[in-house]
Amino acid sequence: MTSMPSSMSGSRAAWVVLIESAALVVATAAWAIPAAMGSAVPPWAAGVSVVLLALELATLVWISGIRAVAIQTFHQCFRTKVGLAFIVLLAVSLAVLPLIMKGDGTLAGQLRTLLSYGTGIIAMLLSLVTIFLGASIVSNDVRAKHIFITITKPLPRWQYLLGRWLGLIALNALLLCVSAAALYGVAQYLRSRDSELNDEDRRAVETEVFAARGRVQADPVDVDSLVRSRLAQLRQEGKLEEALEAWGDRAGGKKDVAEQMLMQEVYKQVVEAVNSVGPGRMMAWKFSNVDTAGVAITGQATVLSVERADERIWVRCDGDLVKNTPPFSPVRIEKSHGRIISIKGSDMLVQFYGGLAQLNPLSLEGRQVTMHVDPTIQVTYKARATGEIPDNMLAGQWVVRNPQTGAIHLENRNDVLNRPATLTVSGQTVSDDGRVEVMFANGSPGSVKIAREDISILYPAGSFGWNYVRATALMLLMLVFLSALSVCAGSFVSFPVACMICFTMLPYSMARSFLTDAVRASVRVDGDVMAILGDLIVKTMSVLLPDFAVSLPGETLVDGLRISWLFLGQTAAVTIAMRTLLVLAVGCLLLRRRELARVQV
Amino acid sequence: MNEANSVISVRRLTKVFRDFWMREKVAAVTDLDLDVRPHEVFGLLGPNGSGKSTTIKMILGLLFPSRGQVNVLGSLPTDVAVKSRIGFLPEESYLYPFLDARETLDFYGRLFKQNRRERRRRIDMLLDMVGLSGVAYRRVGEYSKGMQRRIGLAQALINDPDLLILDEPTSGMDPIGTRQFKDLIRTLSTRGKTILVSSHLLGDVEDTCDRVCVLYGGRKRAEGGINDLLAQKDHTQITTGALSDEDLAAVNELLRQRGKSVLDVSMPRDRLESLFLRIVSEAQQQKIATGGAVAGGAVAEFLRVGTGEDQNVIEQLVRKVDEAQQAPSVAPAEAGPKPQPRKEVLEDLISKPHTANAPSEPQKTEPVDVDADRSVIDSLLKDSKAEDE
Repeated sequence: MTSMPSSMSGSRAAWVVLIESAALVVATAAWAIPAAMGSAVPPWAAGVSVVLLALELATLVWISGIRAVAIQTFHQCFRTKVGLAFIVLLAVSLAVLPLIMKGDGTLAGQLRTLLSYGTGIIAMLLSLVTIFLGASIVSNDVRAKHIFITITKPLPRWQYLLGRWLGLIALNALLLCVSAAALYGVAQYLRSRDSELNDEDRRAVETEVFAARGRVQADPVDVDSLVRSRLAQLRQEGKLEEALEAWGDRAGGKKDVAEQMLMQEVYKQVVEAVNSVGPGRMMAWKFSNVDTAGVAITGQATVLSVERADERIWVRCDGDLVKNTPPFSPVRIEKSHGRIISIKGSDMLVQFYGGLAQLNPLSLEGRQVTMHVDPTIQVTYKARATGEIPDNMLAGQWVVRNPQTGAIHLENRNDVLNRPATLTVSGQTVSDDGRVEVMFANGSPGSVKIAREDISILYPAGSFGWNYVRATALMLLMLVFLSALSVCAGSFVSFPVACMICFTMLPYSMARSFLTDAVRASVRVDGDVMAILGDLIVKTMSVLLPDFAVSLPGETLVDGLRISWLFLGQTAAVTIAMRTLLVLAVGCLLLRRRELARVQV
Repeated sequence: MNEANSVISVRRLTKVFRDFWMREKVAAVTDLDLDVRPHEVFGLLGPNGSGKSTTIKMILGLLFPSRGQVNVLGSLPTDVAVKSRIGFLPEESYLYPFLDARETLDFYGRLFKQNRRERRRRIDMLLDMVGLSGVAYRRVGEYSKGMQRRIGLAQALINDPDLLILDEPTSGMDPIGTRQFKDLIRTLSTRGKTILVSSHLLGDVEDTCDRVCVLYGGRKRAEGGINDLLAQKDHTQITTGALSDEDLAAVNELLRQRGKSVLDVSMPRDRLESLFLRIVSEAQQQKIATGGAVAGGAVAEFLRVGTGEDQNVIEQLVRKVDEAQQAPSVAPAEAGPKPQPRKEVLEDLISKPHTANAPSEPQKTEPVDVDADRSVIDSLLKDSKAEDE
């Protein structure tokens, strides 16, 4: 809080901020607009924006007028007891949530629910706090005429507005840090509390919830060529004309319409065939760009007992191995491959794939062995039945193969249909250039469908803690935008109107991708004037409003998926440079032109 | 007075208030020319809604003129840099209620880019000056109105301004505070500050201002040095020690013969109040348009207290009050005693209701009468007090 006497005069400060903002907007637009069109963007481009952004924020805080107003705003918000009310509400919500929501009865489910609802409640409460405070903070200054004194000091109006905005952000940052830390604490408490978990649940908690994983979707299948070959096949069999005639009746005799309808039908059939597998048949997926990231953990273990019939042994491990090894991790002891199928305290049960022969089982008991725990990847999938399947259970064999070395993971599984299932596989199935092949042989009596978007490979990519920090930062970005929106709205209309503006914008921001898709679809189908107009409006909105459905961390965090620094940086640059600055610029212009007093005669 | 030397120079300033459809509704200020010279205390006078506050807001850049120019310390009011030389005390406390006195002054000090040590030094001295050192850590929202005025004055002075704009500075202050305030204005003036005061309290203006300007209906009605405006140039007043009748006769004799020394001769002064009322009533007689308040008419018809005779009593009372109140406004400049002795009016009014009352319902009417009496007495007392001062 030291006050450095600023040598900048008001107008010079304005120029510096204006030039910095322009540079930031140009630098960001240069990569963000091509990115929105779908072209690739080098990571350093976002880095430039983030550096400019940091520079601009530092400049704003350095300007003494802005700093004074920001500090005063922070005091004001706290002393009006908004912070207190928020913390009480949040504490109640967080305390009650884990009690009433048990998820599916597993700890993993409970933790997912906690994180999902917890971040949701924090984001919602803070959005409300931000909108109400932001909308009232300037409009109330004008209504109660506090602004008469403030603005007749040598404080340019834009500095007043930015000070209000930054003060609100400071408050938000504090409240967000406190509440995010509380949520993190509750989650860690639940994680550590239950030591008598079953191994599957423990694995899910460690590798799916408290994880930051990268996700890779299966490489796309060339559907068009499949459609072509199918048509060729029909023609060869002489069935094409027959089919066209049959469709021609339905199309009212128009040949081109009949052709189009046939093409659509064939397309549908091909897609269905690609995604389905009949009983006793196989389907395969190829993945690329899988990154195992982690390295093997090595530690010492003592063999306790040998169950020769089942080809498994109990070992007692040292501290490091216990701490970092989730159940079902792939392990190597000497040259034998296996995996941990149960953990009891520091004792682990290791199941070997290739038998115990290589380990010289006779002298094994009591021996000190070196154990390597390999990094893992996970294959997650969700299967739906398209035929009759008893018990709703999918039986089958999964093969995960390294196309380079030929290393194979083979597993027979029974999974509940329509539920996501996870296959934990050693990282050795990933080739050096990140390729993996996955095959599934359907052992059920009916055919099942596994859509391409329903199967993916997840690989460890960083710690949960940092992921959580990035998720929190994403929430702060939303609040930064909302602060600007509400403060600016409050600077030219009264409190209720400003609230209304913000609350109208909020659902649009939340459902933007949905709206965009809907309008795009209707443009493609109809092509009429209204649809084109709607498209234009949605395009404008997608420039002006952030897309919280994409930029909020909720589901990503809950699924244990990594939020990359790059994504955070890009979101920060786009949210602040493209949207927040625009809103603030409009607010500053309006406030500059506004008569702050009323003529009272 | 040329423009270049003025601290505040206002030329043909007009402020028209428009409604939502941009239709002109009210002319708050019309073609106003003003010059506030360096180092003087300038008083802005006028009845409610005469445009004083609008003018001050335009000088401060809180309102933008519809037409005309405002020049403050050589700059436009929208120029932010010039604000560092201005101190402003608004008509009410518009301070943040959740800050304590020290934080309030610290916040405004920061806006002038004062460093921490300088702020602390000035805050200590200002709190001491306005007598709030003891309560510096209480929130401003808990202060009484007078205390809020004091802290408001302190914030107006934190930048050691060259120009001080005080809107209704003594409203809500106790007599001691008012006295101190007036002394302070004089002191600041002798230290070379230029001060613009707007006030309803004519005594304050009379005591402190060098020059005044009287506004009515957004137009300037009078402007000049306070002595020039208040001097009755067709009379001469002689002040001397106590004189016996013989002495008086001798003085008369001497004066008639001329050439004898007199201890003190000065022009008797109008009271500012009389001047003010005269200007306003002249304006009203000329039916000059004003968007502000005009002298009230008869009491609204619907304001009945009872029925029948009671009503008549009230009507009578109202009429009496009207007569009593109209006296100064019709002939404000008249010196000498009022045509009707105050006491008689009072007694007359008090006795009347009782005689007018129907004897059968004393309980029902009595409270009404008492209330009516009170207000009459109050208004009369106020009148007579003002007259006696």
